[in-house]
Amino acid sequence: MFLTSKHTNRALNKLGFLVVIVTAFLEYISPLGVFITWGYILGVLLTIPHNKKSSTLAASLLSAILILLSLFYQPGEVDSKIIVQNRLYAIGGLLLVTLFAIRGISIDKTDKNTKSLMAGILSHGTEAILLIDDQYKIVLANPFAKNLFGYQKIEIEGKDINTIIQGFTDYPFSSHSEKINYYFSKEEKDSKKELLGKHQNGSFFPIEISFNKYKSGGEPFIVIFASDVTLRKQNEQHLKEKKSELEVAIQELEAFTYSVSHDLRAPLRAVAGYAQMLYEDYHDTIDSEGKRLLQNIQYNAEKMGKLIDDLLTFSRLGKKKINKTTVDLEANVRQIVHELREVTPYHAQVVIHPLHHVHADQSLLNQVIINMISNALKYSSKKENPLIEITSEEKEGEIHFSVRDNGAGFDPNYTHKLFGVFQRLHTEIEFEGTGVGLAIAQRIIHKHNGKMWAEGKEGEGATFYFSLPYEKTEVYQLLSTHQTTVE
Amino acid sequence: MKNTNIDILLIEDSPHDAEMSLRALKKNKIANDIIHLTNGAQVLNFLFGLGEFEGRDVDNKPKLILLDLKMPKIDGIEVLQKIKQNESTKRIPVVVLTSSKENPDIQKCYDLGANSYLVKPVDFNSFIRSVTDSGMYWMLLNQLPY
Repeated sequence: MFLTSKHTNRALNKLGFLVVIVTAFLEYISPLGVFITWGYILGVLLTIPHNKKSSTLAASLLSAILILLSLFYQPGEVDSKIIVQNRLYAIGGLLLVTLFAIRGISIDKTDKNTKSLMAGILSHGTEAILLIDDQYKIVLANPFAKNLFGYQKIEIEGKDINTIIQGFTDYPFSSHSEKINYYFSKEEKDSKKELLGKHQNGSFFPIEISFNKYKSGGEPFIVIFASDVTLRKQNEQHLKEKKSELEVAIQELEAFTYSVSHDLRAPLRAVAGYAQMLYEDYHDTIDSEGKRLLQNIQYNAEKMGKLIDDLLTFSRLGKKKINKTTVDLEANVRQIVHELREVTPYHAQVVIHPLHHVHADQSLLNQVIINMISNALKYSSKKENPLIEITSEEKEGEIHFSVRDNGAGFDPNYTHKLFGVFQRLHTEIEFEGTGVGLAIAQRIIHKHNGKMWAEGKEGEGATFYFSLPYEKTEVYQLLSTHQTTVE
Repeated sequence: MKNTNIDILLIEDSPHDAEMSLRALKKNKIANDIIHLTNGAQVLNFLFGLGEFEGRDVDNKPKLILLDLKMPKIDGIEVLQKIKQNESTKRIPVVVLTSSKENPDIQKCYDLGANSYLVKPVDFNSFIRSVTDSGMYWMLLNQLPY
């Protein structure tokens, strides 16, 4: 409180007790000395720098006992009335001094605790903390700040904040201190700003700062919290570069797919064309085996054409934007089944249960449904009573749509291959196809944030599903008045 | 150069596509006199009587131009532009042929005054059909301005 050295304070404390005892002795020799009584007070005062309540209380108590004891020693020629009066004054004085001293000690202690707590926070923080005054001079900096800006050996205090944070005063403060209040809107206090930190060695690095102002003893101060964001900036830059690299790669890939499929078409047409010409022009001279070979050439050229078309459709999907509307699954399914009946030679019984409305890109979703139903028609075509069932249900916040058939099914061990491009689980002779259809379907469903999966058993049919997220803004209604339709 | 009327000017750099087109047009008796050119420079020289076609009677105009877009050096678009910008050739019907409907040039072709835009089908039979049908329409049904 008065002196900083602990050692001195302890010595003073001891001296205080000594003064108390000496006072008692002096009083014994000269009981009438009124001012000697003040010695006790001096003794108590001397214990205060030690900053311990117990010590001050002990000195005070000792003084009181000694004063009371002195009442029993009264030289005969002295007026005992005066002595008692003197002693009572002394005790009163003591009491007052003790009370004030103890109160002082407790306030000082709280202050000291707060200060050491603050110091602890400041020195252990992993963020630079700077305190500046209204002239933008640094008043205080924690060790982390000194380290960050390279001021371990050089005094940072007293420097202008702009020397370590570039352009700090340009924004959002005015150079006039009065305006600090004005410029400190709540948003500004809460928001983080990215500025450039300037290291003592002259190098710059990105920092993120936040600040707050407060007043101490009528003086405005600004506390600045600053952290080095070099690493984060590097990561951001790295991610940005990777992203644009990826975009370029995707573009190249799309251009490549496009030109490959495009350039493959022309020679393919020539292969089929010349085979046709050969057949037409030399029809009479080619024997039946020769004609069979020519037909195979044409068949394969045609097949390759389909593959290229499917591949083009698949690659185009990547670019396609989704245009969502409310889709009445049931109406669409009925329309699709009707159309497929016209263009395919298959004759399965199709049961359409009441279906939901969903939120999706209608033409893309129809592509998926066409694929699912035509697959079901195709793979059940060899059964005696081919049956297809189409249902939809609401499950865990999603709409699950399924197409079940009693056809050829598939080996569940190969489920993962179903949705791959050019992946087929049946030979061309068993069931024709390019193996791109389900890959396209899955890609469309993924673009809608849905999932596509399948269950099946060899020889016992298959069920293909897709799920679409349930969107609360839409009314998904299951129209109960609808009857299950059989086509 | 023959002075008889030219029916069709086929501009196609792929010899095989050209052969198939010529075969279809001739076989279906749509045109007898078909001139096949393989690049843009040749076409412009032919139409304006320049270079190797110097002295050709430029008033002897084809009844139809079948123009493939993809050609080396001077491409179909440029040829189309030159044809449609020139007073003497702008009324000749030009049917643009392309290998793909993905081609972003379709609008440009119409803007430049193409009379029709055809995507060559991949399938041989469809290809033959579309060349034949288009030849049939422009040669037999369409009324020429000259």
